[in-house]
Amino acid sequence: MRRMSGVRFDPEKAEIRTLLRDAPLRGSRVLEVGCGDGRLTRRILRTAGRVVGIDLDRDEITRAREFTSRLLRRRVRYEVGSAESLPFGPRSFDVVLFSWSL
Amino acid sequence: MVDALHEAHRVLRPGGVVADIRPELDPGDPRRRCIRAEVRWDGQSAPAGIMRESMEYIPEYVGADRAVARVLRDGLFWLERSELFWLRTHFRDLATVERYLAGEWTGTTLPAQTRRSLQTLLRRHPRGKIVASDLFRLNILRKA
Repeated sequence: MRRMSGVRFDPEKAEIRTLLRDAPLRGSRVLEVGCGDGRLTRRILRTAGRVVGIDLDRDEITRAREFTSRLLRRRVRYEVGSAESLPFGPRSFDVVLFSWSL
Repeated sequence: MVDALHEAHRVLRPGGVVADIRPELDPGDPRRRCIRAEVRWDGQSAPAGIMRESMEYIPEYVGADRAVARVLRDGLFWLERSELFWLRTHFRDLATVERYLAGEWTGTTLPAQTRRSLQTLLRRHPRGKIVASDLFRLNILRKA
């Protein structure tokens, strides 16, 4: 999802508020599958311990890296990858998030 | 989709969770997804109608529902929680909505009746903003 002048997506933060209420994100190791440009990833980072975002689209991963502040970059990693063949070992994460990507 | 959930199961620690956020089909017409359009001004709002998403995405939503049902049936996960919520997108004006539909929400259209209602409401309330509300579901699946 690209940024566009005159458009504010979910300014009430309903998505992250619902997630924080229902999913055990605090201090967790989170994998976000289909992270796109990292819109939600950056919101999760404020609560989660460490986050890995993967997406099939290399351009989106490039944008995700650009949009993530230097401060947050220490706790996030973005990778190009497929949901059907995750490049991680067993038991690597506490939470796997599919946001519009299942 | 089932393969993705199997992979999620593999990389999750015991007791870990999958959080699955997806658009919800219109409760009144499960062949469609419903996006409501309204105009908001000075703390008030008025409905203007609906926006329609192309039906080409419906098989994906149905397929995802079936994949979740399958892994629950196979005992890989259990459904801990399921919740509906509204996601809202705010637009400065009608031209911005149309630009956004053309460039981003390419499968979504603004029916003529909704466009006319938005124009009428914006004439009455020139400082009004257009808000599109889209129903979503969050499923929390706990690794069994």
